[in-house]
Amino acid sequence: MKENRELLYSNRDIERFFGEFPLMSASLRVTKLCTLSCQHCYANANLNVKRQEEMTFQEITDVIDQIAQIGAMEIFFTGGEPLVRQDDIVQILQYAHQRGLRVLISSNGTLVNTQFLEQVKNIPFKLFQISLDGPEAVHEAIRGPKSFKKATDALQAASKILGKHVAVGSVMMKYNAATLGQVMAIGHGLGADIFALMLLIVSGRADATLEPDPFEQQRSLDAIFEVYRKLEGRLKFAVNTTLPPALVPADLREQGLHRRFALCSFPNILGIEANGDVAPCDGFFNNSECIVGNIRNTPLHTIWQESPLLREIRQVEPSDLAGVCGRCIFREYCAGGCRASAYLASGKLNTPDPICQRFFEANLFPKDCLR
Amino acid sequence: MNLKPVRNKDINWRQYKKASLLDSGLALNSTATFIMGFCNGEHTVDEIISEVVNFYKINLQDATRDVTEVLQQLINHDVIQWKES
Repeated sequence: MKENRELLYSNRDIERFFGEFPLMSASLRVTKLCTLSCQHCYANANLNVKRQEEMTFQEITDVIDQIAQIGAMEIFFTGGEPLVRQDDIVQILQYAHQRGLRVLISSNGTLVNTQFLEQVKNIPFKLFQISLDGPEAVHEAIRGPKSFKKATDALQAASKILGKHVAVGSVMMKYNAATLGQVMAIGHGLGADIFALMLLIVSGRADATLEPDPFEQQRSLDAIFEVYRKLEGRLKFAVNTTLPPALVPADLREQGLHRRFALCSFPNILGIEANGDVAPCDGFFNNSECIVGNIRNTPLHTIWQESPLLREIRQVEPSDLAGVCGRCIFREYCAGGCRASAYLASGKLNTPDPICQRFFEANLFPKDCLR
Repeated sequence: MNLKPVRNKDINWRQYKKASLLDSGLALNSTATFIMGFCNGEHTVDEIISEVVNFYKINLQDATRDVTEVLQQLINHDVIQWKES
């Protein structure tokens, strides 16, 4: 049996190889309640959200069971702010770990304290992410007063107690794009070993005015990769970094950096909302036509196997991608970057990732990445 | 060959109907998945070869070659290690 390391890139090939369409990971919003009310929140989370529709602990453990049974490897806990569920978030995280799922979590850090960290330090988190959107003034302009100290204290405590896989997470926006290199340095100084760079998803409270133009984005990326080089691998990019591979500098692409992230496994993922709604991923929840079911009335495996929208999505192959994605040498690997952003921008499933298309139209897209 | 292959503890492995997947993104075909299933520190290489012979109805020589190659690849990818019996 010779080693055959071909890329399984078409959905048809993947389904044929595995004998089924595998669910690889799921994100679970355990609440829509949040201690902050950030202007770029695509979940529309804040402290005024009604909790009566939120899944109970029993419902959440049931859905974790179903996610594990279908075959997912990992679960990403998000919200809202997951730690708002102070009564049961520790038990929820422990339950997912006991079910054999790799655990990832994103928090704004406001409720992270030593007691919580001590209760979860046995879990080998794949990612323990604290959001930091800029140096103090920028972060607090986006997230509110006193939020910077809470986030940085959380990062420091998490780094000390959990030891590794602690991430500083930033969403690139117009008002912080110039500061993300500084954010990386701050995070590294506090002990974080991972940087999660996320591009803005224009949905929920996030509108297009928050989006940097391609030239601002390019300058931000230049600064980010400059800091990355200076840190010589001591701050790695998170697996959930949403930067398409073509936008990684050529020398770092040659070293294979792009293979360590930007590998969203869509459509082999699902998003589950705090009220049990299920969508093709976390980015689709604000589009009612994209809700493919609710786990309160339909088993997750039934939704996964029978949803007409999920079946339609699986019919879209990388070779169907339009715009710059159709010409990109990473088309099969990247599969169109963020499919939620593309759908939100166009209402179609085969349109290019907006950031790459904007780079292309601004003549910033790397020529060596075009076929 | 009394060495027993055992999956590394930090490896996340999921089996699907016809194949399996590691969280590194490495996909194993049906034969490699069958062999991986015996990498739990309880089976020697000879026992795994015997299982492959019986299940796939192939000769010992082919089974030995397949098992050896799969185990070597899994070692190369830090998926398994050897446990002394």
